[in-house]
Amino acid sequence: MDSVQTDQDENIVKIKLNLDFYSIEDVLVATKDFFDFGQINMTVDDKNNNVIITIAPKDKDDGLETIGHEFCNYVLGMTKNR
Amino acid sequence: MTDKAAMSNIELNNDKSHALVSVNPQIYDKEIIYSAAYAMIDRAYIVIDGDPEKKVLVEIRPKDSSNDAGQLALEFNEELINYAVYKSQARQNKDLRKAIINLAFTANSVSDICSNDNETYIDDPEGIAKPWTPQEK
Repeated sequence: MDSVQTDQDENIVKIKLNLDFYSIEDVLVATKDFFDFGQINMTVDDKNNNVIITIAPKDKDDGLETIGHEFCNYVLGMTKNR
Repeated sequence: MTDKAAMSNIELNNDKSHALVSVNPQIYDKEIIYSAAYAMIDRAYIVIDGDPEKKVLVEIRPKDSSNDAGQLALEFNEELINYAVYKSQARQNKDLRKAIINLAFTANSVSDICSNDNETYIDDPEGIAKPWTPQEK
């Protein structure tokens, strides 16, 4: 289960979330809330029913893996409270 | 502490940095899994994946080294049971709860409070309803 993958050379973190468990609306809101961290891109993998979020942090000191996992927890919080 | 190896639904990865918990969605529905996962997000990073019809996989990764992934996985199992029982009891008590709330709302209507004609908010026995004006010198 490699939901969070980091690329230290490119300084990006890729987060893969299953749309059976996380709604696309919650992911969109979380993406907007994470704008402060850096550039964010979102693509949907229709074949595997996944959404892939790529974050390129502004600050290189921010731990890539930490940002990725915090994003997952943030979406989970919204999903639970929906 | 329970032996982690004996719990067939917990898998620890080689470096023990995270645990993978398999959940049967026939026993625990999505809401229960979300609630159990949410209860742990202050101590762990959680990712939910898998098949919502057959097998749900929950990855639990401790935020700091003071927490053990296996221990958190066991706690997650307990939270699942906790929320499943809560939901089951809430379902059983649904009608009673509704009756109590209905009773509470009907008993505290405005007409019940203002039913005594002798003492209404319009009467002013203390004489305090007069607006205050400064005395002229």
